[in-house]
Amino acid sequence: MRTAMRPEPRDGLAAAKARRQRIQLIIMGLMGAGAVLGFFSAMFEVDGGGFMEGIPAGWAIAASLIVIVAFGYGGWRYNLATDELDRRDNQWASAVAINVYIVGYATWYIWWRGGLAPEPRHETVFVATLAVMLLAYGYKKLRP
Amino acid sequence: MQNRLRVLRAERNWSQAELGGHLGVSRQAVNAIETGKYDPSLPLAFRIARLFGLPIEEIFEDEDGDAA
Repeated sequence: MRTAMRPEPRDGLAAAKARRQRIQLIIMGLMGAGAVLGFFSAMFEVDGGGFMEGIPAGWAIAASLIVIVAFGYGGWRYNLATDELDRRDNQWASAVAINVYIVGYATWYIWWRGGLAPEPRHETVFVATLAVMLLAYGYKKLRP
Repeated sequence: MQNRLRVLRAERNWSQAELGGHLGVSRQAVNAIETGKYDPSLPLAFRIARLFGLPIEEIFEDEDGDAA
């Protein structure tokens, strides 16, 4: 324990910069995958139809594979590049989002069954869950 | 948890980003540890101790101010 490791200060800055660049590259890769998904889905969907309505089965398979690979590989690389504080923030935001999802969806479903609300829309539930996760993550970044 | 990280860093004239680079964590993580908003994991605490060549208990103290 007494053996000091004293690298030059520049090493620390270079390492910090390389780490930031790795994270930026991963996020840009994920955004690129999202752009490809959005572009081709918009190209294939029926004019005047709903979101992704009428996309061919081939594109549905390809798009789902892009999602699986992008989030599987990208998530794994992101976990390697981020530090323990960021992983804690991500886990906290995920826990908040899943709890909001469970309570929100269950409530909406029960209200629908009780004739108080329209049938739950999965797009709305999905986007709301993602939005809550992003908001919770942002809150945790501002108040660690 | 209280700690002497800011003092030790200042003695070496390192920025938070530099220290983070040495430890493999972000500047934000260093800041959160220094301000007592985040308690590092045991592996990270050991990395900090090795970097400064000190035992963990000379860097971190518990809430009551007793040695950890």
